[in-house]
Amino acid sequence: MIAYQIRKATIKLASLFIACLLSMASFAAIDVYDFDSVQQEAQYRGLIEELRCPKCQNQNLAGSDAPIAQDLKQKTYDLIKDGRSDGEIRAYMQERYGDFISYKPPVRPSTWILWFFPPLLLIVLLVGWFWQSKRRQLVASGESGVAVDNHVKALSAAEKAELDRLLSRANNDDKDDTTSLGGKK
Amino acid sequence: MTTSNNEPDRKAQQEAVKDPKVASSNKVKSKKKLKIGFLIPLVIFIGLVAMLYMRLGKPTDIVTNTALERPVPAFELPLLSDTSRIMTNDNLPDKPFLMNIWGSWCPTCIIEHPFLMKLEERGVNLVGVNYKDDIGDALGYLNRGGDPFSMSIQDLSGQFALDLGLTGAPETFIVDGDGIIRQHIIGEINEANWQDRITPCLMVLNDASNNGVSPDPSQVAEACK
Amino acid sequence: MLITELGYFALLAAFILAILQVVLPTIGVMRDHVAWQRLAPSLAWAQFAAMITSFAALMAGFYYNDFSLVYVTQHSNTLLPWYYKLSATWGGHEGSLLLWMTIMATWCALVSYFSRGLPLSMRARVLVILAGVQMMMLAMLIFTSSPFDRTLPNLPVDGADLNPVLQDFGLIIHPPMLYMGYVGMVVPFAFCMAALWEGRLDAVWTRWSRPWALAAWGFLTVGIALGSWWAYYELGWGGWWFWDPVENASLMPWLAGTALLHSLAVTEKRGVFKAWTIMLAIFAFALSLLGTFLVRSGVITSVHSFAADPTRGLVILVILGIIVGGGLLMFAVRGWRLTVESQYRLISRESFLVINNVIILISTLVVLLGTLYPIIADAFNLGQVSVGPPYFNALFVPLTWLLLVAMGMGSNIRWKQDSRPLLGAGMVIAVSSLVLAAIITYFTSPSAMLNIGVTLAVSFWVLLWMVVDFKDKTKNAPSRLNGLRQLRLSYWGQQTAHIGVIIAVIGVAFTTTLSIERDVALGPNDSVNVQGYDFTVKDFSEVKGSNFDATQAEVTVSKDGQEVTTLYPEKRNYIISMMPMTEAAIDANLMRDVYVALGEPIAEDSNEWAFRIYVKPLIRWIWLGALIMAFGALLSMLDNRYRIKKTKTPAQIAAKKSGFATVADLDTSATKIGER
Repeated sequence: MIAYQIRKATIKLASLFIACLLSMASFAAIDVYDFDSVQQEAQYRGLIEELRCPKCQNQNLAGSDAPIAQDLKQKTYDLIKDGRSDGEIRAYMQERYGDFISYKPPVRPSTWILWFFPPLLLIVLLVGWFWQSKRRQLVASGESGVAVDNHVKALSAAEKAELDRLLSRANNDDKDDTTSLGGKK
Repeated sequence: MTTSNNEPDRKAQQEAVKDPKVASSNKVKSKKKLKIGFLIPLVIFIGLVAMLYMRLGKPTDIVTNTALERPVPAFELPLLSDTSRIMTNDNLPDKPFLMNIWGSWCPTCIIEHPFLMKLEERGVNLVGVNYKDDIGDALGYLNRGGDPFSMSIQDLSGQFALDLGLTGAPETFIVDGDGIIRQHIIGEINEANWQDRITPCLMVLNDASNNGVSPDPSQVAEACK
Repeated sequence: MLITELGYFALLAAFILAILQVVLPTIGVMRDHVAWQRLAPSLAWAQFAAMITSFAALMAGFYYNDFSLVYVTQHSNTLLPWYYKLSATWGGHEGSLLLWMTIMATWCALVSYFSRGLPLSMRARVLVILAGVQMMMLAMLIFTSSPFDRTLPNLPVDGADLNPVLQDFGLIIHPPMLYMGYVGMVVPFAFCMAALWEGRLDAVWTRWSRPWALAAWGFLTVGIALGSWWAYYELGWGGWWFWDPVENASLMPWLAGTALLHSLAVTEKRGVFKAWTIMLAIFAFALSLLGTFLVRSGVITSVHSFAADPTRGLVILVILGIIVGGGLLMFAVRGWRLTVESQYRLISRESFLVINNVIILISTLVVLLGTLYPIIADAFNLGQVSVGPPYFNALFVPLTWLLLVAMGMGSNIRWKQDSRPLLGAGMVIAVSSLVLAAIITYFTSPSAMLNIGVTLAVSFWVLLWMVVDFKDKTKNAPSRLNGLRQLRLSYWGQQTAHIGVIIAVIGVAFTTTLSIERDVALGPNDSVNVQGYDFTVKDFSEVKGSNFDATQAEVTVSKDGQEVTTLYPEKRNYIISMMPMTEAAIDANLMRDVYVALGEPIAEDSNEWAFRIYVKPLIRWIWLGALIMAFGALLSMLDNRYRIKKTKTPAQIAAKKSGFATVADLDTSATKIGER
C-alpha cells in the first residue's frame, strides 16, 4: 500500500517536474482553414511563421499548441479573410501585444546595432584591408615615401648557392600546388 | 627585389632609417599599438561576461504591457448573469476597480478564487471577465465558490481578451476612475502581490478619484510598477 | 546498485587524475624534468579509462532500471524500449554533461596517441591545457550536477519516462555527434595555447593542429545536420532550422571553425596570419563554451534548453571566464610577437582567404548579436523585441552569397601572386553562370527569380571555376585521369567540401521558396491533390507500442494515376507521461519529400481528421550537402602530409642531406625564408 502511494506520488512529482522542465512542442496542432485563394493561404502561412506565440518558450504560432496561439492563428485567419495586408495584420498584433509579437525586429534606434552594425563592419573591414594591402604593395615596390628597412649583409658564395637552390625549389612548389614542402606522397 | 630607378631616394631614406633614434621610436610606437590592439578581444570578452552575469537568475518570460496607460478597449459583451443584457464601457464603475479575467477551466483561477472572495469582503470593487467559457460551467463555478464580482461579462470569442493583450488566465487589470488601465498583473492575485503591487497603486488611484482629478503620472509610475 | 556507485568513484578518480595531469607535467615543463613531462600521456589514458567506466556505469544504471538514481528516475521507465533507455543517458542535463566529459577524455586520449611524434615539451603542454579544461568541468559536474545523486532513502518503483519527443532515433545519434564536434574544438585551442606558452614564433603547430580542427569541424557539421533533420521529421511543422538560440549555439562554433580551417591553411602554408589563427582557435572554443552556457543557464528563452538553473549557469560562466579569459590574456601578452609583415599581392589566395575570414566573422557576429540581443536589450533597457528567422535570414543569406562568390574564385587562385589572365576568365564564367541560372530559374519558378536565381548563379560560378582549376592542375600530366590521380587528398577534400556547400545552399534555396503546405480535413476514402500528388486516406486503425497507444492512418500517394507510395502517419498517446505526439510519415527521395502528419479529429463525433501535407523539393540536398562537407573534411584529414612519422622518408633523407635535422626544421626555415 505504502509502496503504491510512494509510486504514485513520485510519478506525479516527476511528471510535474518534467512538464516544467521540458515545455517543448511535442505536437503542433493542425488547424484546417478554408482559403479563398492560394495567395491567401501563402499569406497565412507566412504570417503564422513570423508571429510569435506570447506564452511559449520561443516558438512561432505555426509550431505552437498553446491556447493563445490557437486564438491568434484564428484571428490572423479572420483578418486575412477580411482582406487585410501583412503590414495591417502585423500592426494589429503589435498594438495589442507589443513589438515582441513579430520575429522581425522593427528598425529603430534601439535596434540599429542589430540591423546596421554587421553590414557596416563588413564594409569597414573590407575597405580597410583593401586600402592597407594597396599601401603594402607600394611599400614593397619602394614607390612610396615610406622607409624600407634594408639591413641586409652581402651573402657569401656558398650561402648564395644554397639560397638559389632553396628558392628554385620554393618557386616550383608555389607554381604547382599539388605538392608541398612537407614531402611528396 | 627592388628596381634600380629609385636608388638616390632609397639611399637617402636608408640613411634616415639608420639613424637609431628614428628607427627605435618608430618601432616603439608600432609595438605599443600592436600590444593595445591585442588587448581589445579580452576587453570585449570581459564586457560580455559582465552582461551575462547580470542576466543570470532574471526571468526571461515576455511580459505584455501594451494595455497600460490606455483606456479599456471598447467592448459590447453580454452580462454573465443575464445574457440578454449587453454591457459596454459605460457600464464600468467610475471609481478605480480591478478587472479579473477568469474561466472555470483554469486551475490557477480556482486557486485564486478564495482570495478574491476575501478582497470582496474588504470592499474592493471587482469586475470579472469570463474568458472562453461555457456559460453553464461558469455559473456553476460562481455558485460553488461564491461570486466576488460586482458584475461579470462574458467574452466567448476571446476578442476582448485579445484587445487587452491577454496571454492566458488568470490576469488582472487595475483600472482608474477615468477608465484608463494602470497596471497589468499576470497570474494569480495573492496576499504577496496584493501588498507589494496592488495596494500602493489603488491608493494613488483612489486618492485622485476622490479628489475628482486624474492621477499624477509620476505618482502612478512610482506606485503602479 | 553497485555498478552505479562504481561509476561515481570512477568519476572522482577522473577528477583527481585531471588535477595530477595539470600539476605534474607543468612542473616537469617548468623544471625541464623529462620524466614528469612523460607522465602526461599516461595520465591522459588513465583518465580516459576512468571516464569510460563512469559513463558505462550510468548506462548500466539505465539499462538495469536503477531507480535509486534521481537522474534515471527522471528520464527513464521500465516500459521504455532498451535502445531509448541507453540513449536516455544523455537525455537530461547531468547525463549530457557526463557525455561531454567522456568525449573530452576520448579526444585527449586520441591527442595523446597521435602526438607521439611531437617534441615532448609541446606534447606535455598540450595535454596540460586539455587537462585544465577537464579539471574545471569535472569539478562542475561532480559538485553541482552529478548524475549519480541518489533518491535514497526513497526508492521509486518506476520512473517518469523519457520525454516522447526524445524517444526517437535522433536522440541516439545527434547529441554524440554534436558533442564530438563541440568538444573537439578544444584541441586546436590547446595546441595554440601550448605554442604560445612555449614561446614558439613559428607556425609548425598549425600543421599539427589542422587535422584535429578538420575532425572536430566534420563532426560538428554532421551533428548540426542531424539535429536539423531530426527536428524536421519530429516536430511536425516542416521547419528544419528555426534560428533558435540553442541551434545558433551550435552554428556559431561551426562558423568560427570554418574560418579557423581556412586560416590554418594560410598559416600552415605561408606562415602568415599566425595571430589571426590563434584568435580564431580561441574564438571557436569560446563559442563552444558560450553555447554550453547559454543552453544550460536559463538566460535565453528556447524550447530546446535544459532546465534553467542560475547556479549552474554561474559555474559555467566562471569556467568560461577563466578558460577564455586566460586564453585571451595569453594571446594579448604573447600573441603580438607573432605578427609578421605578410608579402602577398592583391590577387592571391591569401587575399581571398582574408575576405573569406572577414565574411565568416561577420556572419558569426550576426548570429551572435541576434542570439544575445535579448540580453543586450535587458542590460541597456532597449525594450523587448523578438529576434527570429526574418532577421537572421535577411542578413545571413546575402552574406552567404558573397562568401560563395569569393569561394569560387578564391579556392582556385595561386598563393602569394597570381598573374594569370583571370579577368577574362572571370567575365566568361560570370556570364555563363548567370545565363545557366536564368534558364533553370525560368523553368522551375519564374516568380522566385531572386532567391533561386542568385543562388544558382553563385553555385554555377563556383562549379565553373572548379572545372577551370581541374583543367589547370592536370594540364602537365600525361593524361587527364593520370593528372587527377596525382592530385593530393587534401585538394580532393577541399573541392568535395566546397561542392557539399553548393549542394546544401541549393537545397536551402529550393526548399524555402518552393515548398507547398496544405492543412486539410480528410475522412476515410477522401482525397486531396497537392502539387500534382493525390493523397487518398484509406483507413484508420489502432496501434499499440510498448509505452504508447496510437491511431494510425493509411494514406496512398499517387502521381498521374501511378501509385508512388503508402504512408502511415500516427497520432500517439504516451501512457506514462500522458503526452500526445504526432509521428509523421515521410516519403523521401533526392528530388522531393512528401510528408503527411496526422492531427486531431475535426470534431468529437466526426470521422474526419486533420491532416497536414507537405511537398518539399530538394530538401534532402541540405543534409546531403552537409554530409558531403564532412566527407571532404575526412579526405583532407587523411592526407599523409599531416602524419608525423618517426621513420625516415625520402624527404627526411633529403632534408638530412641539406643539413637540417628533421623535416619539421626544413619546413620552419623554409617558411622563414618565405616571410621577408
